[in-house]
Amino acid sequence: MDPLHQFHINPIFKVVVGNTDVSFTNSSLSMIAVVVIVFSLMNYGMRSKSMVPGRLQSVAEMLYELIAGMVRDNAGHDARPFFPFVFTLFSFILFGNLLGMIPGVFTYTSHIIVTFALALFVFVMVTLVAIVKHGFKFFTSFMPHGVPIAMAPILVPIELISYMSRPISLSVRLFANMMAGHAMLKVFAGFTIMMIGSMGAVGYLAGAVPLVINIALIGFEIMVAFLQAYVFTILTCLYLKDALELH
Amino acid sequence: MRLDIVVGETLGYADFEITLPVTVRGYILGSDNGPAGLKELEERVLQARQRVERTSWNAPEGEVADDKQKGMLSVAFRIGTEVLAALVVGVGGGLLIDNALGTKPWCLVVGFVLGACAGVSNVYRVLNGLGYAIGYRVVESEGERREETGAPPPAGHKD
Repeated sequence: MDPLHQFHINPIFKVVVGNTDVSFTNSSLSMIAVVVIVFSLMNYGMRSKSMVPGRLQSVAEMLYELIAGMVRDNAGHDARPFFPFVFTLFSFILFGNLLGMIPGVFTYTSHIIVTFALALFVFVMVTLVAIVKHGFKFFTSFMPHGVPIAMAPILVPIELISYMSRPISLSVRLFANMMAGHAMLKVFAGFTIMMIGSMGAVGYLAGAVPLVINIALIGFEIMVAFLQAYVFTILTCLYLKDALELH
Repeated sequence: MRLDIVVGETLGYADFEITLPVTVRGYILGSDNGPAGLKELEERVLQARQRVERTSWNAPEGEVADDKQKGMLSVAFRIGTEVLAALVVGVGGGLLIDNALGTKPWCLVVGFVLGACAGVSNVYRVLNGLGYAIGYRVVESEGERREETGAPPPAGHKD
């Protein structure tokens, strides 16, 4: 009945290296499942490469076109080498979110450590791209143009904090959306069970109300699953654009 | 006259319109709907072609419909996370420096104030559509287009 029970990490095979627990958990299992699903969707779907796409090929092509358009529009032409990275990121998050909508399947994007690792990777990569491409000019960009030099001791730390808050806001947004949504679904489902348990025959009628709400919520959650994957990748594209065209 | 065709039936007299990979509909030539179906097909082909051109890498920039129409709820949520993230970095950084240097409350206080400032500046940037660039200039493509057309840059626009 605990609505947060679904977020527990349970080891499947216990593996301990030294003092570190590197067990294969339910989280790892769903991550591997998503990788397998995406990999086979892309490979099996594009196997025929026909002019008139079949079902799977349509899905694969739609995914490709969505991300290609997103990278091109939001990150510019120079970002083309990063397309595979953005595509992988999007499909990993999207299919992770969607797979989590199946009851009983673990949603790894509802754990902040997973989303933070993804966001931190994006952050480090984008910063490295900016440094490699622009060298020292990257560090001067923390001082906004046209500001008196006396303001620098205040403004530079603020800009630095603002820059470093990117991975946190990126990861918190995805994690909070997923976790809140799943907890809410569980809470409403719990209402139904409580009503049936305590009110008997009347409870079956009353319990239908949260059930109906839950059906609407599941639709909403599927939308959120897509939207949050989209937002995560579009922000990655915007960060990439900033790094490539440092102003 | 529209005919839903079962796969495997002979299709020699019909021309097709393929809507989804699963449903195949045929239009019988010479009937009222036939030419209309053809026209529709032509339109769809054109649309599809335009869409493909739009998403290809070599298409001209700026032709794409912007996705700025997002729900107000997501905007509100985004603002919340921006403030939170900046505060986390400010306060967390302050605490780390405090622990390292032994200057117990002071860096935390400074970090909190700076984090709050950064949070407000993040929100300002989000709401004004300045994106995530460092600084406060609207450079995003607007400036570039002005340079191309040779129009003078707006006041306060410095490079």
